[in-house]
Amino acid sequence: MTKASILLAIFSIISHLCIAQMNPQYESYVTWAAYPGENKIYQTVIVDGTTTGGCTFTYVCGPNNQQCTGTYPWCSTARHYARITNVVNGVGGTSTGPQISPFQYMSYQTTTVATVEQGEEVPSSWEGAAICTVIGGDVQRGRRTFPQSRRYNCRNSSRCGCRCLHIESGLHRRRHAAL
Amino acid sequence: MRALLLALALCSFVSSFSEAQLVAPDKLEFTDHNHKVEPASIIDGSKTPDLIPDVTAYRLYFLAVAQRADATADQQKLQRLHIQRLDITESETQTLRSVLEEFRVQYEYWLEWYNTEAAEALTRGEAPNFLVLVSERDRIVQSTRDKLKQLLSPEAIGKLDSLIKREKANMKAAPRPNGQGGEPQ
Repeated sequence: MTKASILLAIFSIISHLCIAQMNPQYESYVTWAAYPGENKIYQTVIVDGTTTGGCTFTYVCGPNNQQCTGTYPWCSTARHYARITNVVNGVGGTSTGPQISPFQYMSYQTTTVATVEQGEEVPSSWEGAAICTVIGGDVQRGRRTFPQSRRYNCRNSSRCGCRCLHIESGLHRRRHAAL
Repeated sequence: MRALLLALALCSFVSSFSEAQLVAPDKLEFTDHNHKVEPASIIDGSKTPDLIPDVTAYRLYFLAVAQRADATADQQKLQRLHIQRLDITESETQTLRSVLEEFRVQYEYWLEWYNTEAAEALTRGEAPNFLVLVSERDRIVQSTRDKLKQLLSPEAIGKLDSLIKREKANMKAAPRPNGQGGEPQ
């Protein structure tokens, strides 16, 4: 019973903290560019946004419905940062932006350049995420991952709805029509 | 000890519910911070591109294409590749580059201003005024669009608009607290 009570208390407190007045307001975007003459593809991923809300909350603290203001104790140490995974044909990787207060605004982007032969299909994956951390550790519940991460086999692209990147000889716009 | 823990758990539960009832409806969206409701809370442009507001789509596109005045040769080349997709004249390409360079400068000033305002608000124990700060961001995007409409041909503007609307398929956005983010513009 004691263990259950402890777990219940911990769960309740954690859930209380995690549903604080924080509303993620992030956007992500992935885009491509190519220059067939050089057999190169550029993949750019952007994460841009912030979290709305605040570190304080009000609660009833007296017999006559008096309102008091409290402060979430973890709030002052909370930080968020952008994490971008940007890989084309095995080139690129994951990088992170600076850690700042969740209520400050982040705008972070990376570009990966990969060499691709004419007509060759290569896999690409990308992910833009805003990660919330408290006192040094990532809080998975606070992690917002934009479901743009796509690791796939090109042959299955139609099934999984993902795309393969390739440069076709000829006009640049033909390649984009293929994207 | 056991009674104390039970009381603590109950108190915490009750206070959670009490707080939920006190906050404004838009604040209740904070639950989308958790993974369990995330898919429904994010606008996926590949599924519902019309729900990505134009001002958001233009901002993300501008951020991808705009370069600073001191851009490296590689950055300038990447910008040119992006602009080539529009199939506009060289003169219009130069105009677009110039206007986007100005956008980049304004956006970076705005970003610095936002973070300064947010830091000062937090120091006072207040929440940053998100709607005011973000409306200024959107004003920068809109003024950039207005400037492009003045300087580029209607045909070039049409191509830019069509491209950005297609690019919404590669964007994801969170609905805004006041609900305006979920409506097409």
